[in-house]
Amino acid sequence: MKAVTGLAWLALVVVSCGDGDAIEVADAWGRPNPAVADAAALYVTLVNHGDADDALVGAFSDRCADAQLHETVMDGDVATMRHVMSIALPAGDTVAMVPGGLHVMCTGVTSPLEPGETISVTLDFAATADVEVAVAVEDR
Amino acid sequence: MTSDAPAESPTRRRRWWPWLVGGAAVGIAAGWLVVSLARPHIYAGTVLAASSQAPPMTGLVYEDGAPVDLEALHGDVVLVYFGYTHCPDLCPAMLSTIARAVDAIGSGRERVTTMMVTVDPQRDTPELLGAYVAHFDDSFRGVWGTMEQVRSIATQYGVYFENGETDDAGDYLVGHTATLMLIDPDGTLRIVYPVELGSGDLTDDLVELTG
Repeated sequence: MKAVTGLAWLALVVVSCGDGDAIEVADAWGRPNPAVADAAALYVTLVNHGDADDALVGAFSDRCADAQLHETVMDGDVATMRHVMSIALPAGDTVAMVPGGLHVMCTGVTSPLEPGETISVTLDFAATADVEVAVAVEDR
Repeated sequence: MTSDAPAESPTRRRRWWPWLVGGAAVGIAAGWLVVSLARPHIYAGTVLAASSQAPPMTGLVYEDGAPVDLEALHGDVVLVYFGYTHCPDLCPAMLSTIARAVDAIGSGRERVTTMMVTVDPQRDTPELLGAYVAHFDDSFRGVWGTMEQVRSIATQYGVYFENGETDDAGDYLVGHTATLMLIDPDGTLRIVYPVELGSGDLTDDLVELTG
């Protein structure tokens, strides 16, 4: 009887993790920014577990006056950054933001991001609902 | 005499093996030393083939207004990075890497000078640069000059930079050569490191050059 109840709970948990969590956000972190710096970079890894393609189209945080999706692009040793309007997230794919690549550029940082704190960031997707993420501020 | 003999001989018989073990250890250590000295250190960056004295930074100043005199730094390793304070991704990543590497070399860190030369002299000021780099390590120096001065010196270091488009808020990003350069204790511009430099690799190179 206990086993059956356990299975029932398990089934409930599995069902509740269904399409609402098609997008998994992992390894969300941001680099502490110098107090005099206006900008800070945040990085997340996105996994689309769903059957439909999606895209990250924006990010918001009350710690950033503005947050844009950016990509550092290397041309030989020269780095330039470009503002990207959306980051494609095909069904079944994983997109990892890393230093020197895709990142969320948080500008107008309201107060410096301090190591050890966690900031709340809302990720806006084209298809699925917004996802609120706890971004760990740490030196890496 | 005869009464001493039985007491001495067991001791003598037991003593041979510490010598053997000790001898073997010394042999292994000596062998390791010979092998490691014979093998040249492989640097993590590109060692410049035609290396020459690092171009002087004439006219550039530190965060406190003092002129940058590379000759005064002979005997030290100098790490030069061209960056800017509005740079959110690569500059903080490189400065964090350097800070970790310098932390890891212990007392040798006193023989390493790290400087970030601005590629955005319009928005950066000496004071702003100083406060920015100090976030990563107290010993880091911020370096500023006029656009003309920075442009001329950057070119001599093989560094390119250009302002990107200005947005509605008047902000812009600066495209720039994002490598790290190392000037050795002789004042020679010697190594260029790629963007993806790891702090452990840099530590090894700094130990080699300051040790």
